[in-house]
Amino acid sequence: MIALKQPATTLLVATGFIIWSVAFIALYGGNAVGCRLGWSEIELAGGITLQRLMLVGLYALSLAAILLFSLWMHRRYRSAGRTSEATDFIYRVARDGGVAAVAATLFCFTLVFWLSPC
Amino acid sequence: MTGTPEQPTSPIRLHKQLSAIWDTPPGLGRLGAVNHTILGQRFIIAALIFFAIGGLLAMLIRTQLASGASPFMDAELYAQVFTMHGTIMMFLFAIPLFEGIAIYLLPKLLGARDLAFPRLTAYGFWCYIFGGTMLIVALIAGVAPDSGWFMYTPLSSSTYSPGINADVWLLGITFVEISAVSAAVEIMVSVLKVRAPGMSLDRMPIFAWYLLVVAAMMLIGFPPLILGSILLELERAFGLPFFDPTRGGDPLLWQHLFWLFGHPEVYIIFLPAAGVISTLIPVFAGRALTGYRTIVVAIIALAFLSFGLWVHHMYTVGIPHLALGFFSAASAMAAVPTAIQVFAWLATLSHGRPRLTVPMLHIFGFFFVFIMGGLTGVMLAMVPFDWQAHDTHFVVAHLHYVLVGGFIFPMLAGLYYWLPHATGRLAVHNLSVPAFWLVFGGFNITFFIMHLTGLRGMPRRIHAYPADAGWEVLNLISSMGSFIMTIGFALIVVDVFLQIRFGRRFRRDPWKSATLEWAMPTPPPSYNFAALPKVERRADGLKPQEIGPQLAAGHGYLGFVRQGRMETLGVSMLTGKAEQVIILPGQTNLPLYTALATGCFFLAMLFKQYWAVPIALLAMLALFLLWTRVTGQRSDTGSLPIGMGESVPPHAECDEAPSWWAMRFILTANATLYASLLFGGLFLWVSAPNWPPADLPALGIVLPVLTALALLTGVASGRRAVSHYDNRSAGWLVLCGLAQAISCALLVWLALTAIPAPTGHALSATSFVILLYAALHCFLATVFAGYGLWRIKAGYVSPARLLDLRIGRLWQDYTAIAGLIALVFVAAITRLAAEGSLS
Repeated sequence: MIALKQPATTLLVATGFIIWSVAFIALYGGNAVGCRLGWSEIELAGGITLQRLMLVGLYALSLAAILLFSLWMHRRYRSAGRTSEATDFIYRVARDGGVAAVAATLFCFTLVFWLSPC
Repeated sequence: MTGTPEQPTSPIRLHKQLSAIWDTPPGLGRLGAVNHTILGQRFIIAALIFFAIGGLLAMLIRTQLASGASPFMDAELYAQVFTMHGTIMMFLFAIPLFEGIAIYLLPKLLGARDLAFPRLTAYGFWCYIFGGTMLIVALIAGVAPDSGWFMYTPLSSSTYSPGINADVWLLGITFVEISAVSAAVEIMVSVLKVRAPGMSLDRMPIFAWYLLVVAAMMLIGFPPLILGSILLELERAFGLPFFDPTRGGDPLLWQHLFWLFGHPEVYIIFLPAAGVISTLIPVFAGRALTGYRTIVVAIIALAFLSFGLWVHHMYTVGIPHLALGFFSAASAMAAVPTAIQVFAWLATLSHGRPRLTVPMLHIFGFFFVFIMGGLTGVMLAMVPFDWQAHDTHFVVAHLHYVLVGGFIFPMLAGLYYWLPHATGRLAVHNLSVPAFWLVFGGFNITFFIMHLTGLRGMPRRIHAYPADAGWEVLNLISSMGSFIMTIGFALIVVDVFLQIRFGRRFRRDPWKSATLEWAMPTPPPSYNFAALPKVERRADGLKPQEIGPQLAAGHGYLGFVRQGRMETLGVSMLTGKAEQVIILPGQTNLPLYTALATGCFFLAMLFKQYWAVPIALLAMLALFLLWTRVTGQRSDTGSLPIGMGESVPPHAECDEAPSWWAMRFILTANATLYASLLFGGLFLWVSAPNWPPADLPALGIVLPVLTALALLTGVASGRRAVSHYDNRSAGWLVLCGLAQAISCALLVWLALTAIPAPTGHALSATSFVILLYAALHCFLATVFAGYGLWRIKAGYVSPARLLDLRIGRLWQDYTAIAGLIALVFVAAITRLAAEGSLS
């Protein structure tokens, strides 16, 4: 198991939503830049534009990152040899926060599949 | 330095010894107060005075709107009045009141003697007072801001607001925001590091979690507003066209920067109030808070979501559907963590035996009003509805239901709960009950009606309306309600006065609470606890009645005095294990003098006396350096006894001293401001008209490469000076200072020669400001290197005492990163603009 320093462990409580925030900035900023560069006009195959591909790719990447983080926290919490109640608490908050961030990602960003981007 | 504590012989003697060290001197000595109890009370009193002024302005607004064509105020005066009402309530009342409560309560809740940086608290207080006074003086002089509390451009640009009204807002509010950012740093470091031993993160009282999250939000939320104010002031004063579409700027950039701050601000106001509710409900329900861990998750989620919905104030400006969808979904999603808290409070009440006290009366007021405001918030989060209700009185009604419900009622609950703590007296009259009903009834009469006027199409910010619009009767009822509400507030003032003057004295913990602030005499002594407790369970399930006398007798940590120093304990962030003795600075006028110098800077800017600006800035720098005269130690002491059989080193010999964490948080806020500036540049390239400009920046190759080399030399030598501390470290610091000075000069040279006139186009203006930002950091990095040298020469540094150099290293690291990004960004955006000109 990777040993984390105390401040890094504390930061875990916000990590799920930090990834969500990065995804938000990437999707919102990426969408604006794509529109400016005309990516929504570049059709790749089957009516899918470069813009849509970029957005869906960012979406999938973000979702996978938050899911993996939540699973990692779940495993750390469930694993034997837990160091203290405080560490357990942090892992549980981090895991639950990760699950909430997954829900937020699904709810806020799934729109990339169908809404007009520009 | 000897670490031997002086053992007291009795609790009374210990009290006298501690009071002699911690008490603020009388008379003019009060100006040098750094004690958190005093400063917290001052913040609260000042915020309430500003609330009274803001409330008076609200009465003027309602008087004007009571009839359709009232001759009471003309449009110009009305614009000043409604602008100042919003500005005062948001910036001079709500945030400072929360800061005051946090400053007063936090060390008491955490089992500490003071906050991590008492002088910073005092500096923040003076900045708040001086900045707020600037705004009020402008109001009295008839030159108050008049562009609305969110100061939209181009209305606030010099073309349409040529006087100093808008400058008063931009400079005054930035001045006040210094106190908000300093409070954010103070609160974060204090919650994370300055707690009673044994108080691990999972044992913190829930209010500390709320304050930690809110402080982090302030650290990220305020810099975009500060940046926006700087850019708009640069445009108004020097013609740099960030918001002027004729020269490549965009008014929408202001809206983005403002609401990047503005919407999280709503939650920055609400969450501390929710923290008060989460603290009070368990006390009056006689049961522990339901879902402590779930609430922690909910407030973290809410904090992040609140940053993802700023555009819901901008639905009508023309934004692609997909982006609207992101913000609409995030806006609706924010209701979920809020609802989790509401259900946790209801569950706590339903499982307990609630006592209907005056604080609980206000909490029920909160439930009713805030939930209504939340429901209209979900309505406004939906884009089609928002398009219909945008800029009508419906929005005014919604925001008052959220802010009064979500802040005023909980704060009144907190006032009635903690007033006995500050005064040592309990109420003997029952004026508080009719006062509550007058406020509650008057509020609902005033603002519920506004939903109706809004749905009938009444726009906000108009000073007159047609007689046949069908709004007059509703407005008259609304105005009558506001007078009823004012009578309620006046009654609360009388009630509080009576309680302070004639209230009944009590021994300890009148509410049968379970948190540490009640385990001390009331009114609280300047040192809070004669000894610091060892916390062995969650700190909102304690028994103050039993703990208090033990601590007063000196049974605990630091139950003694040592060399007349102000000491408290620092703990490891996660586990709460005692880690360091934090030696705090004593009373001093330096924060006041530094705030005065800061005020001179802002006044020089306001009255365009630019010759005085560098003088004021240098005075500020010199005064801040004077702060360091009493910090640090000239010899290693090793571990000091702290009682309970334990010993820990002083903070100067500890890796994670509070000031090291403070620098990290300051850099976090700074990085947010920088990221907002880069976002601004990118946004203008994406969205603004009149791009690309005729003249493009031409950095070339040689100078940027030389600058990058100088930056890298600076950071490498700065790091080397600390990582292997020896007799060559001073030499490395000299090299670091030289390299940073060269970087500074090169960056200034680039800004002056390689960028076309910054007044010509937003691209030049943005590039110019980015390069100067990096140059300023290099200048300060030189100062840090020089400061490190002085500390070495003066004997404050040893292999065990590297704190000063480690703090400087953080700045050197940030400077190098910021400088390199500046060079790359300016080159990249110039290239992008050039490609635009070719296509």
